[in-house]
Amino acid sequence: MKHRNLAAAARRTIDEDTKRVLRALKQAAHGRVDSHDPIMEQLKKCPEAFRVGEILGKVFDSLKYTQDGGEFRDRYLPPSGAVIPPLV
Amino acid sequence: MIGLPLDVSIPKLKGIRSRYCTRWDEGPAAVLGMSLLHLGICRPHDWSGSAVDFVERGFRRFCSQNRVVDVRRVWVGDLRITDNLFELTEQERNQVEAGREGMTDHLYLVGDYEAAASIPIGATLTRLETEHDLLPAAFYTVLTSNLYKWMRVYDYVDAEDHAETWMEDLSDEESDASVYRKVDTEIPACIKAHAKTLKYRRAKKILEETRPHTGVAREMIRHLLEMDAHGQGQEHAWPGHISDTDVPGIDDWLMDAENSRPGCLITWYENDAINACFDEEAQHMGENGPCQPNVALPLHLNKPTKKLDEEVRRLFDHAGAMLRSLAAAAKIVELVRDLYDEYLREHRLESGLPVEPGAAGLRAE
Repeated sequence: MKHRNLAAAARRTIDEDTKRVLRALKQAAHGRVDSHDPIMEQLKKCPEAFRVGEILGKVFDSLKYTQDGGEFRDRYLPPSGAVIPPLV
Repeated sequence: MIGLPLDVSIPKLKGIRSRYCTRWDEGPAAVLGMSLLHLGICRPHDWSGSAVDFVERGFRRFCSQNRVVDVRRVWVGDLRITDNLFELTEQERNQVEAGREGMTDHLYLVGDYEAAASIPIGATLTRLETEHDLLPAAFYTVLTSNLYKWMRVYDYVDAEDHAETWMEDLSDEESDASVYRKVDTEIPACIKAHAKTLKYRRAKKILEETRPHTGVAREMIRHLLEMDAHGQGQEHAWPGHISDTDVPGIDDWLMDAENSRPGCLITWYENDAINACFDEEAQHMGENGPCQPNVALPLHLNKPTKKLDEEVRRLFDHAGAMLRSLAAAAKIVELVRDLYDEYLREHRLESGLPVEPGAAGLRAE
């Protein structure tokens, strides 16, 4: 009896998980941001992370595309004024 | 780069994804993701907040369940789900996406190879001939028929075409001295006599009925029949099979594109005449336009759920069959290479190393 209850509970959880993911996928299919994105939730709690990510994103973009016809080796240099904190 | 210690710390986010995508990618991936969830290929715990990530996790697991690790031992390439058949740089891609109205209603399963896997089959054919007169031709026919389902195969037939074209402009003397003449003369008798006349059905029957005495021959035939079984019911999904009504503009693209790069090169032994012809052709592949991928199956997303699920199932069945079939083929290729190495050891040559011209050769050049 106990086993049957546990199995039923597990099935319910799986179904609920599937439904939750299907809902999120439907939202994404319509171009809406999923409000339950776990990473978005963490970013809301820690907005500084978004800021740091944005700065690093700009740095990486400037590394990726050579600007003003610069030479290939220039790609490996950070833009002037950029401060890269040590990554631990 | 080591910076000075600063009062700045980077917050750590748990479970962060390694990839972020634009909404252009997320939309079609979400539609596909729903089908993959219905089919059990993706699972709820694959969800990390991104539809592309969700599909990727499911697809990776699917490939792994279908023995992609074995395939990678021989073939270098990729099997991907993409929204574009063209190879685009990131900047080109951004331009295309910016000009697109709404979400794409097509995705493709695309398979391609970075290099042609070398299959020096001469020593294997000699070994098989000791078992049965027709076994080499039967083995060759079934192997190439099955490889053709998943890739363009470059073998002596392609080399013959190449040689014929180039010999047209040569005098008889030049022609006799050229490598092109050797393409024909080097074809083993067991292949020349039977391979072009032996049909697939008869060849498969010979394989099924032969009881080889040696372990290696038994193993090869077993893997080949396994490869054949995995590929049953599947046809090569050449990009040329996609119609312009299915994917508008595909005909124009195919007109501009070159033939696919071969996924394997079947030679009698390394650096033979077939190898020479292949090297000549390979130098110019992709010069006049992008090369078509070896496999391209379209997936139409604008369908009712049930029909879309069926189409996704068919597409993944094809991908699974391809991977399992190539995993069996990889075992065969490894055995073929082992036999070739054995042949080289017996003939005091070194295998696997490209031949470099010596100092005398360089001077002569």
